[in-house]
Amino acid sequence: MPVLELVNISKTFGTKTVVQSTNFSIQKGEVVSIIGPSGAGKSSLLRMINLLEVPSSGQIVIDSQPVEYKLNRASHLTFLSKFKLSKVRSKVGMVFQHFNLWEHKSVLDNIIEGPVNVNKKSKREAIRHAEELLARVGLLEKKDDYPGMLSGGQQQRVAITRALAMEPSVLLFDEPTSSLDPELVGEVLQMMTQLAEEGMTMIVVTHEMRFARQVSDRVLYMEEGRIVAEGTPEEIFESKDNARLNRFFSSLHG
Amino acid sequence: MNLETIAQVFPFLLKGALVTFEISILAIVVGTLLGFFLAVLRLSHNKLIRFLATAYIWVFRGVPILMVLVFIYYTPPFGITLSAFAAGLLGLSFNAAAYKAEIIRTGLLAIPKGQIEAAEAIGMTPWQILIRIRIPQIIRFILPTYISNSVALLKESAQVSVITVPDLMLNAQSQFSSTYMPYETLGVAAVLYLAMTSLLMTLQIYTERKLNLNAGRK
Ligand SMILES: Nc1ncnc2c1ncn2[C@@H]1O[C@H](COP(=O)(O)OP(=O)(O)OP(=O)(O)O)[C@@H](O)[C@H]1O
Ligand SMILES: [Mg+2]
Repeated sequence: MPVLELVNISKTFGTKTVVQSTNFSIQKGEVVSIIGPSGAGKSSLLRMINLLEVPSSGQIVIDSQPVEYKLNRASHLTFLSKFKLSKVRSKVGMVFQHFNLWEHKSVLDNIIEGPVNVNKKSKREAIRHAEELLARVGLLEKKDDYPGMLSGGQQQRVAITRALAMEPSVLLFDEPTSSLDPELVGEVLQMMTQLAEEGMTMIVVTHEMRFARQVSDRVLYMEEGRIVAEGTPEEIFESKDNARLNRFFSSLHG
Repeated sequence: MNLETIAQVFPFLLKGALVTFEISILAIVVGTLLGFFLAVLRLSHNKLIRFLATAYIWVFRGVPILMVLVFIYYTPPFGITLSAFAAGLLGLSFNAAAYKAEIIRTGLLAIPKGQIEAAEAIGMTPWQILIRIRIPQIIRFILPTYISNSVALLKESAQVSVITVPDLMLNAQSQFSSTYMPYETLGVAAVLYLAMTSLLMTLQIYTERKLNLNAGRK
């Protein structure tokens, strides 16, 4: 049974269609990488999963529950829908390219914010869990620091920890290493690899081909708003007969 | 310096200072609430709402406070009669709201969009995001401008003396007229003004510490 299903999802901005009637589903414990050229619609697709971007049409199903929401005339979520989506969103973790940690909160407060205020955990329990997660990635001694005092790699690992603290059904990553200095990419990829091995369900939009190839169970290749190739890493990376893929891979090396 | 005169006029001045403090703080509070509301309206998707909020700000920033005060006190609509204090408070609040709205709007715009998205993605409700993410960030960002504006408002509140609100300015003036001793009356009043504005500035330093304003900056 899929953890998450997108049925016939489309997204248009004005007259421009950036995601075209796309179907997608992911099983528990699966790791799916989404690759493709800039502007292909990878971020748009990912962001529709937790309604950061509202689909123009189609259906999202999470844990077998269709996600319900209403739009106002300006095609924004209605105020009420934003309240109702809280539950769904708490089940879907999101990691951003620019970390997006709350600058006015310490590392620990960033991590317990959701568990305490959304999942209604006791503060003590949330802190215990947060400290355990931080210790696992060697960031416990940073718990009272503010995000601005950390390196990019540390910030991203805190951001991943913040998402994990919610105990989500699925974790979404949108180019989690793209804004990092090259020497900091490794520590973040290592943490993600570890999560994948522990059985976390993950969807990763990435330009890190090595990660996509070595860690994912399945790779999707997107172009012009469509998934145009899909398969195991071997099928995608070793296929020689797909002209579009060949063009994409050679553009990476060129 | 005639200490005897000071002792004699001081109770009047102090009473006036309390009125000044009260009307200014109330105007700051009402102005901030109204200003927040206006700031949100100015960022609305609805053109008409945006226009109305912009027009309000335009008028109240562009017209002298004194004129607004006189209007409200002497020509209230619907046959209402307002006490001088109420008219003064309304006038100051309406004026303050226009300035606070602009300050708060810059704060709203300065919040990095990603931080709001992170809050939405984690499942926080719009209220939680407002209270726990937006407002603390707005405060961090606008505090210095906000306090400067509040200090200015406290000083400008002296203009309510024109519509007979018995504030520090009015009492100092009347004591001066009856004693002709400027230092003992106006001078002491100036010190009282300075004390009150200093209090606001101290509040700024305290809040900056409390909010860890510099945290997160390398
Ligand atoms: N808010 C928006 N308004 C208008 N157009 C948008 C908006 N967001 C994205 N787009 C357009 O949608 C298309 C797909 O964008 P998207 O960010 O999903 O691509 P992407 O595959 O993630 O690219 P990248 O690798 O550069 O991140 C692009 O052409 C982009 O310009
Ligand atoms: Mg993208």
